[in-house]
Amino acid sequence: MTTRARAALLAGPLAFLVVFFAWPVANIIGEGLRTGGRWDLGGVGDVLGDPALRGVAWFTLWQAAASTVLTLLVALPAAHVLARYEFRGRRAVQALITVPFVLPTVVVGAAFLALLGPRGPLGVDLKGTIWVILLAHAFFNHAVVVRTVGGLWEGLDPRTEEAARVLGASRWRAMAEVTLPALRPAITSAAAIVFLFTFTSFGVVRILGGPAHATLEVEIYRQTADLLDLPVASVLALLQLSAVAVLLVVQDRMERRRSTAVALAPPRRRRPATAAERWWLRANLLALAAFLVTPLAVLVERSLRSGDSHGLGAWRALGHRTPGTGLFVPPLEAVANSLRFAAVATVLAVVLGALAAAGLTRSGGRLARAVDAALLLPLGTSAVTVGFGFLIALDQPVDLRASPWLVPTAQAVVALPFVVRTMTPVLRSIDPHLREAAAVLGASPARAWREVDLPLVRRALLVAAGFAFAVSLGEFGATTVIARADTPTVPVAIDRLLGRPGSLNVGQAFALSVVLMAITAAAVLVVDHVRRGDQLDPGRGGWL
Amino acid sequence: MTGPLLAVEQATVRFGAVAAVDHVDLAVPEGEVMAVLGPSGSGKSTLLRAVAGLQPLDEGRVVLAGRSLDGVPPHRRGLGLMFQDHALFPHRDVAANIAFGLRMAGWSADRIRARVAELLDLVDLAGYEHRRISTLSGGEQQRVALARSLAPSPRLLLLDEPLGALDRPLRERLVGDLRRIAIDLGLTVVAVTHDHDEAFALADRVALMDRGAVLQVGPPAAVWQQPTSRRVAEVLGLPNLLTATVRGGRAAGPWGSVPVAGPDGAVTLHLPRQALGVDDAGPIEGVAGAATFRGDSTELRVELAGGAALDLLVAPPAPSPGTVLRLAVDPAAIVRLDR
Repeated sequence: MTTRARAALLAGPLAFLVVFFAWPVANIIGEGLRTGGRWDLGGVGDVLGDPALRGVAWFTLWQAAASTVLTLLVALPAAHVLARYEFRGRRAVQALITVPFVLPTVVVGAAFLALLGPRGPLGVDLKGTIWVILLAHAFFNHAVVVRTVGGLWEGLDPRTEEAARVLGASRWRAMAEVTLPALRPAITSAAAIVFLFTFTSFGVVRILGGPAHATLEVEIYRQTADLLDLPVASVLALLQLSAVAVLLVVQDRMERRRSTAVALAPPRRRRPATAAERWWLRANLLALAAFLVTPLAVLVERSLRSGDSHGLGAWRALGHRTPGTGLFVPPLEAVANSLRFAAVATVLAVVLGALAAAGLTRSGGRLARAVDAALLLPLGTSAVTVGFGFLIALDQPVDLRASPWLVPTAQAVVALPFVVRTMTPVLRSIDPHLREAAAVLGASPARAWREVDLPLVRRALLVAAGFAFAVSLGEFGATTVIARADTPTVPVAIDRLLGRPGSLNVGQAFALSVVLMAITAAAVLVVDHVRRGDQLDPGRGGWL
Repeated sequence: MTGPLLAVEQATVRFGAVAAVDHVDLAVPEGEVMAVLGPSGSGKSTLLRAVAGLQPLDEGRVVLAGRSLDGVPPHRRGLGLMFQDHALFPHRDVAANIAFGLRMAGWSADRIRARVAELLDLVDLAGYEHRRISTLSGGEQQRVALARSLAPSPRLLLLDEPLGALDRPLRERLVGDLRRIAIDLGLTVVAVTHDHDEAFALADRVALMDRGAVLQVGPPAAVWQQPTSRRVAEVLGLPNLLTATVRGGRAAGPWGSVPVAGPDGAVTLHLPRQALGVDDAGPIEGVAGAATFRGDSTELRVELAGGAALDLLVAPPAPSPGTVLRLAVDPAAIVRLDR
């Protein structure tokens, strides 16, 4: 493949990122650091000097650290059980535990509000406390740890641990001295990802945090949407971008070390042999069920409640516009909006992502690494920042802010890295000799792509599309900044409903959350089904 | 047509500052099987890829049947290429793999079916049409790959380490099959290999390649018996190379001297194993080293003064290690290599 052909493949995705990511970010920089056409760092000083904003930054940092620790504590036992033991229903459990991670953050927020908010079934109201935020974060990121660490764990040779036992180490000693050190690269990598996600957490904190708790992300939104203080929002966005960039660099370093660390073997699972092992397995599965299923089950139950009795009132109300809900349309219309936007965003993200992945696969060296990193940046950049950037950047030369394409475009920016991450390893794993063999047998490059590459990556394309769809459907941060009041998406509608008092509003929000949960879970289960039959599995050991 | 079917003229491929293929000339007449033999990194595979059009040339050109292939992309060259790793399409069955080139050429389904059956017959895999690639053994994959590259009746068949991925006994059988098929079909073949046994068994002529350059071209026996330089002898893995100085018709070293024709100067001598024998009146002095029992003979290593060593075949019992002995050599068999 010539350099020109490579450039052609990468041109589309790069142009897209320049217009819809770099340009908005540049505008944020201009808004935050320039006044009256000159560089002015006074705004930065003002923000850093404001004790309230310093408090927000500090809270963002420590809640992310605490969330990461809690997630690891909760998820590592589950990773062990799923990596080491064979039991009936293991595959189903494995598919099920990925569901929380792909659930929209507002759904997670709503579920924990149903479980631990005012009028929760347990009689404890933790809304507005740090505890419910930490629990929701652990729930949401559980799968990241189980998949990343479990992927490595199932490939570790159990005989090393057995050797330690024979040499006189207790079960715990062997775990601490043999297994955990071998798992460390995966654990640190998972921890870095969880930290990144919780550091930029928006939906969960906005719904559960109350007025007392705000992350940088929530504060950026508040400054933009409520206080209309764009310079302060810009400085905060820049602050967060820099922190995320540092995190990404650190994570990239660890990833690269990780890839050379351990030689993986095929999984060696076995049935639990002793009574202690059987109890450990049972206890873990019970804990998993309690932790992962309860919030969602309670969410469904609460959506069926009106006042003190059960009924379909909240569901019936979804079809009508109810005054006082803060919504200008019937909630069901939001479902249609969401599906439409997500479909367009999926097409955009899959086409651009596949082109980018194809371009990346065929080139090597520093340029490819740079493009690769640039493509991943939106993943680390907060979604609110993306939406905020759209708002201040896309008014000239053409005002795109009223365009119906705006929301799908923002969602595609957020979904694009997921597509690239899914496609690149699969395309890389295709032997280049296959394309050459096709060429020598008379296939033009386009024909070779259609006859060789496409059939081999079809499943991966479907998986990527499924992820892009789920991500777009649940996208909240960017969408809430830019969605027009007459075309809200489901997450936006849920947020608006929860922002108003009244049990009917809350009931409708819960019902909408159930709808969104069902659609997303369906998309993910289809993806999981497709992926399982794949010879070139992109997902093993990864967090995607 | 009077010229060769394939002519490579001054072909050069550079990777950065290194010339992987350095001004190579090569001519292959119609119906000939030519083996390009060289160690790994000698540039032989790059040369093959350049002929196929998969690797652009920095200088020189490739001419096929009198027509320059400059600017002709691989899919319009009408060549066959078999990869070392076979590169079979994993998502298609055996028949669809073999049919691929025929479909590209626009054949009808009926003709394709007949041709596929014909080729499966040729490679002894009749009835394998609907087998999945992943269920085939290495040898079967190699045959399918051969059938796939032969299906469109290419004017020239290129083989990149055709048997390299297989184990020894299988290779020996398949190299015979390959030779038979090439002769039966009157194919013109260029095969790249690092294995001289394979090259000699397969080819009408061998081109020896090292560090991007072709060192010697000739029939296998001629190349083996008359290498033109010490490097050729080393690449062939010839044993018994001695450094010597010729003066007045005798080549001398610390181990003694032997009669050699030609002008005075520094030379390398190749003393074939069969031309050596233990003889108390011989001109070469050495010390018996390890003896290796080979079934019908015993191979004896003799250490010479100056650090060199000679291998020869002796009748048992072999002299015990440490015995000082003398060796005679048939002067007519000595190969003199100037540089």
